[in-house]
Order: sequence, then structure tokens, then C-alpha cells
Amino acid sequence: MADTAFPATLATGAMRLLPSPLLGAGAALLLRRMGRVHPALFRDLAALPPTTLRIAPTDLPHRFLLHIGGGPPRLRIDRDGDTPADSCVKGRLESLVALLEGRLDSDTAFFSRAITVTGDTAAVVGLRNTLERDGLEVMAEATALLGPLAGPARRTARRLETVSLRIRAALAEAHAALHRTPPAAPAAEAAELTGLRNEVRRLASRLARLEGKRRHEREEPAA
Amino acid sequence: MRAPKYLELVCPAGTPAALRAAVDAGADTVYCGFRDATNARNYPGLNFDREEMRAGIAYAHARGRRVLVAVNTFPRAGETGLWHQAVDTAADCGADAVILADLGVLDYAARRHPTLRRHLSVQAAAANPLAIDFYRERFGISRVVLPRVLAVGEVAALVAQLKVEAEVFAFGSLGTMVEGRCYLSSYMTGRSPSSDGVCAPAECVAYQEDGDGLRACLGTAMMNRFGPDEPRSYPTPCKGRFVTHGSPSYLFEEPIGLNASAILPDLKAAGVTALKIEGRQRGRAYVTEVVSAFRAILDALAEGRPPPRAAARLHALNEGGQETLSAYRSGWR
Amino acid sequence: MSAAQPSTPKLSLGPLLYHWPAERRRDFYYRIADEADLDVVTLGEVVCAKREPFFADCLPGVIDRLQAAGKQVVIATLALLTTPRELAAIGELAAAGMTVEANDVTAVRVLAGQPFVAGPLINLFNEGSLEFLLHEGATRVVLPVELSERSIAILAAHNRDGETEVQVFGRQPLAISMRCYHARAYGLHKDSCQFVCERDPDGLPADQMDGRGLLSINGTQTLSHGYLVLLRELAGLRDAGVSHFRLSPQAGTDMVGVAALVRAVADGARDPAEAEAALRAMVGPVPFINGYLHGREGMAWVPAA
Repeated sequence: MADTAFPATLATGAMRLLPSPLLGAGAALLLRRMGRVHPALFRDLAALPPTTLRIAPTDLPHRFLLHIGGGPPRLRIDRDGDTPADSCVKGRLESLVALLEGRLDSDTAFFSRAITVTGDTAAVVGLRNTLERDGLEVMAEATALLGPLAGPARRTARRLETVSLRIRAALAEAHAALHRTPPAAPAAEAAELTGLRNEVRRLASRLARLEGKRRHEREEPAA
Repeated sequence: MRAPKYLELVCPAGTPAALRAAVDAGADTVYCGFRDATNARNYPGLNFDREEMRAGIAYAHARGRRVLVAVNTFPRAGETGLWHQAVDTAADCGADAVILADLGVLDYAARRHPTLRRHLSVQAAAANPLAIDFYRERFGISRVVLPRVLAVGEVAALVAQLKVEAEVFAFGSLGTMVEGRCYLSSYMTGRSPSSDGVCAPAECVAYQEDGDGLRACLGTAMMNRFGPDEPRSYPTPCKGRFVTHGSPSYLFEEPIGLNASAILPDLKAAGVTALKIEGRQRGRAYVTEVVSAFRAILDALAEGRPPPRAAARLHALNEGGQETLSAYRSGWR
Repeated sequence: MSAAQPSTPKLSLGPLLYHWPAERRRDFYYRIADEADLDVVTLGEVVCAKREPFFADCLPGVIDRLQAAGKQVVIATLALLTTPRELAAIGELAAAGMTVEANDVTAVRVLAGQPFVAGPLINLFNEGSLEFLLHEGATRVVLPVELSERSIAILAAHNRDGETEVQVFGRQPLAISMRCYHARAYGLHKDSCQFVCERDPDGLPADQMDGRGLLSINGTQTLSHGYLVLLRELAGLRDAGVSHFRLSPQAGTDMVGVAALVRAVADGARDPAEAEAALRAMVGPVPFINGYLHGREGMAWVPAA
């Protein structure tokens, strides 16, 4: 796995654990960074007709609202989960990020039912095509937020992803073995899960501190 | 320019990133269009402005590849200026050829840019030697993109009579109607594939949850209803499900895609010059996958090695996950 | 033609698009010759080459009868010309002095330099393609069904020295294919189709899954389900320079009656709204459409303001 490949299992696990406000702040931070790295893409996004998309990862408790068009894109957590949106994109987080990065062909994803689109189809197609214009790497952008810690964070993420993939495989095996009995994580993996949980908490608090720092920076004159 | 191996691989690019992906994956030639109604994939967020076109052509040329610019729609009365301008811009950006369909636009390009190569778009649907020769005589076309309606034997018989190069479709979505002469989409949406460059425009598409299924509508017309376990398709009119004699069916065509990767030696033997991959509306992921799969097959064929089995990789990329040799095999009609 | 006052438009009967038994087809044209108030009648098979031989024996008699009745006869070509035999036949028609309506660019090549009619299935959307076809010898252009009133006006103004024809009645041809959907709908292949299209003399309905009408299948051709009806619009089209109004034959309707009705409205002798109501009574439950002319989706019906 490349350093910047998106660790889907880890991310899904981590995002499940994060409290909404922190996740929202992280998302906003990530979006702002992407805006700096990909100015042309953000100009194209701003040129689209204004619309609100609900992003509904089926394997996360969170629902996101993405506003694009008429200005810089804004991403926020939909706490109520039912704020009206023009369109809705549903799918596993892994598929959604792969789509965002242009690794997954959206037509294939749609035809194979990996994602579902309802509502204003034109807005979703416009967003998809615009994202396709540039190469985004969510993992690279997210870890780059950690500045000098980016390298270690990527390595940690890669290790954690490997562990969590192993856990997922073990769980699937256990599930198959136990048939209808509710699966329980084997003890060793459970310990690893706890470790993982703690590491994610550490990353999360780092993210929170970073957000504070950025807020402070914004008040300073631009370099 | 790099000489194509075996057959020239002509690949789609809906965005600058897809153009780079196609070149990097081994395309000999990339085709693309401007961000307006002058090309047949006029979808939101897609295509190139003048500077992107210039940069894309520079990227391809630096690597010995060609870029073709599609100006392949039919201008509405009173609006021909935009199409003329697109041809001028393509010439100015250094395009290796323009792909044209409209009689008036062909006439303009032949007069104004005699040294810029002209390819006859599949939108002109020229499928017999006399029609193709007519376009050659009147407008000096160097290549024809053949409609997807001929069997391999018919392609061979046709190409033998041509004084221009032939390009055929090798992979991607298929229209079943004669191209450039189908008004089904405008009949339902008011926007024309011929003049607006959009078939089944996304702003007219609506998916509605319908019990445990999904209903797909185009404008006010219902194109399909998918059961919970059925593969879905985009509500393109010729791929809709309609009721005749009381029962619904895919009357025009199943939602399947063309994959001719298994018959490339037959197409080469038929005298074909170039293979076209459909899909400017698809993303970088599709472009990379399909182009590299075809590159590997063509390289192997050129070197006399058995071609790698790319079937599985290509299979999943076609609409509905199903594919066909379509008209290339007999009995399709 | 005087630019100040448009002359009275001519009425034209487009080619019969469906596959009718030869006798029915012959009798239909005999009655048209004897009773219908029409200036031009276009014969010829547009949709499927396999249907052509059925009517070949009747064709000379029908041409004679129509010409004797003072009607200009035009022979339309197939929408898709593929074989050398089909191309040679067009050359022969032209050599015999018949006016040919080209519905495929290939036919233009065969007819180049001689006067011909550019049919509605040739992509003539703009001044550039119009000029090209006029230069090749087109004396009349029948405009594609997709055009709006605005496009028609621009083209008719550009074609002052030639004639411009627009369809005003009947199902609109929307698509043509190498594949036969009629055969497919009956579980057959095109090569062994048993001419099942003959069973549906007014087309095979292809409805939406919720039961609403949408399309009509006619062999390799797909038509609108609704009938195009332009009556209120005739005066505007005439003023814009349209010289010919085309009626497309439908099986379920008395075409002699339709011709009389359109003629009365075109001459200003009958109120369009009243004629529209009368036409509804004549054609039965088929919906009326006029969307394309008003810049809308073709299947729409834009009612009077």
C-alpha cells in the first residue's frame, strides 16, 4: 500500500469514534487546505450553479452537507440528519473517497450499485466531472495537515490500516464460523482495537489543537 | 510523433486530468472537445477551455502523441459562429485534426484551414463507400469514424473501397440508433444531442425511490424501473425499458457495452487504421483502466505474443457490467 | 418569389412510412389522386429496403394517376442507403426525370448537379449546411422535425430562391437504426422478420412502464406516439417563408379530410382553434404534440395562449 493510499477501514473506524463537532472542524480544515493546493479546481467548483448535496456514507453515523457553487465549497456535519438538500449521494465511505480521488469510475460505481444518487442528478454529475479535472488525494491532504508529523502519521495510518483490515477479515471469518451467533472480536484483536482507538484519539486531539492554531493564524496577516 | 503499434489507440479525455491519464496509460492519440455545445459530450464540468486545450496538446506532443478535437455537433441556425470559432481555436492550439459532422462546418474547415486534418465524425453516420467518398471529395477528409452498425466482414469490404483511413469503435457505450440522426432525447427533454451535444442531460434525469425499487425518469417520461436486485443504467432513451404487447422489455438494446478486445486481429486484417475508445463522460479511473488494458493487448499483438487476458478488468467498466461484440458479430440486427 | 407577400403555401403528402399491403397502399394513393386537395405527393420507401419489392408493380400506375390529377410526384429514398443496387436505383429514377427526395447524404452524391429535394432525414440544421445542399442542387428542403420556429424562420429567410417545406401533421420520425425493433418486439430477427411490421399499419405502440404512451415503432424507425399538429402555427410559418406544408400519412385517420382541413386553415378560410377541435374528433384518442416548434421537448403540447 502506498503511503498516501486512503486507509478506508481505519478512517471509517476513526470517524465513527470522533464526536461530530471535531469531525466537522477536521472536514472544514481539510477543505480549506485543498482549496490552497488546488486553486483551479476550487475556481471551477465556485463556477458551478449553487447546490447542496447530502453525503451519506452508509457505514458511518454521520451525514454531511456539501455546499458548492457561487463561492468556495463548504462542508458541514448535518447534526439533524434531515436538513433539506438538492441531492443525495449514498455509499460506503471507501467508495465515496475513491470517487472523490478519481480512483473509482463513478459510472461503474453507479451501475454496480456501489453508490446511489437521488435528487438533482445534474448537480452531482457537475460536481463529479469538476472533481475529475484535478487529482485529489484525500489521505495525502489530510496527513499534510499535520505538518512535520505527516510522515509519521502516514506510516501509523498504514500500520493501523493493515491491523484493522486483519481485524475485519478475522471478524468476517468468525462470523462465518458462528453462523447466526453475533460475532465477537477475538481477545487479541480486541486489544489491538483498544490500541487503535487510543491512537485515533491522540490523532483527533492533535487535529483539534491544529484547528485552534489555524484559527489563530487566520487572524494574523497572510504571509 | 510516435508510430502507433499494430493499431492506433484513440482514447477519450473529458478533462485535462483524463488527457494526461490517457497519455500516461499509453494512448497514441487522445480526443477531446471544448466546454460548449460544439461537441457531442457537452456535460456540466466536462471538457476544455482554450488554455487547457493548449496545455493538453503540449503535454501530448511532448510525449509524441496526437490530440484530435471534436467539433462534431450540428449548429443551430443563426449560431454557426461558435462552431467556426471552435475550429479556429483547435487549429490555433495545434490540434492534429478536427473531428467534424455538419456539412456547413466541414465546408468551413476545408476552406479556412485546408492544412488542418479533418476526420469525419461518427455523428455523420457515413457507412457506405459512396457517402464516405462524397465527404472526401467535397471536404478532403483524411479519416472516417465508422458507425457501430457494421459486422467485421462488412468493415473489411468497406475499408477495401476507401481512399481514407478508417477508425472503428473498440470499447464503450453503444447507441443503437444511427448516430447524428436520433431525436429521442430531444423529444423527451427539449435539448438536442445533435445541436446541444447532450443526450439525456443530467438536469432532466431523476431517480425516484419507488417502493423497493428505483424509477428512472428523463424529463416527464419514465425510462425504467429497477427492482431491488437489478443492475441499473442511466436513463438514455435507447436503453430504456418500454412496454410492447403488454410486457416491458429493453426494446432497443440491453444496457450493455461494446468490447471488441477479443477481435483486434480481425479488425487489423479488415484494414482498420485506428481503434476508438468511447467515454469522454467517464473519469480518469476508467480512462486509465481501459487504455492500459488495450495498450497491453496491442503491444503483445505487435510483438507476436499472445495477448494478455484483459477481459475481467474491462468487463466491470462497461455499463451494466455486461458486454457484447454488438454489430461486429452477425445476427445483431 | 416576391418578398413582399408570401404566396399561398402548397400542401404536400409525405411518404407513407408504414408497411401496408400493396393493395391497401395502392387504393390509398388512388383516393389521394382522385379526392385530395394536395399539390405534391411523395412516394417511395423510406424505412426498409426489404419492403420495396411489394409495391414495385403498383408504383407506375400510382404515379400516372397522381400526375394525371395534377399532383407533382416525388420519390423519396431510403433513410439508410447501403447497397450498390439501392444507389443505382436512385440514379435511374433521376435519369427517368423523376424528382427525388434524398433522405441520406449518399443520395446527394448520386444526384449531385441535378435538381433534387433534400428530405427531412438529412441533417440540415443551419445556414452552412443549407447553402451546401443548395449548391449541390437542392431546389426544395424539407426541414428536420427537431427545428424550432426560430430556426425555421432563419432557414426559410436564407432560402429565398428555393422552397422550404415543414411537416405540420402526423407522427414525427425520431430515429432510424440498422436494427429492426419491430422484428425484435415480435421475437424475430431482421433477416427473418416475416414482415411483422405489416401487422401494425399505424405503428406498434411502445409505452412507458406506467402505461402512458411514448413512442411508436415502425420497423427500423422510431416515431413519436403523438401526432404533430400545427394549425395555429400555419400563418406564422407562411409569413416566415415556408412554402410547403407536409402531412405524414397515418392509418387511423382520413388523410383526404386532414388535407381539406389544413388547406382551409392555411387559406384563412377556417379558424385554427375550431379546426383543431374538428381534427381531434377525426383522429380519436392519439395525443397532439407541437413541442419542437415552440422550442420545447418534442412530445410536449403547447396549448393556445
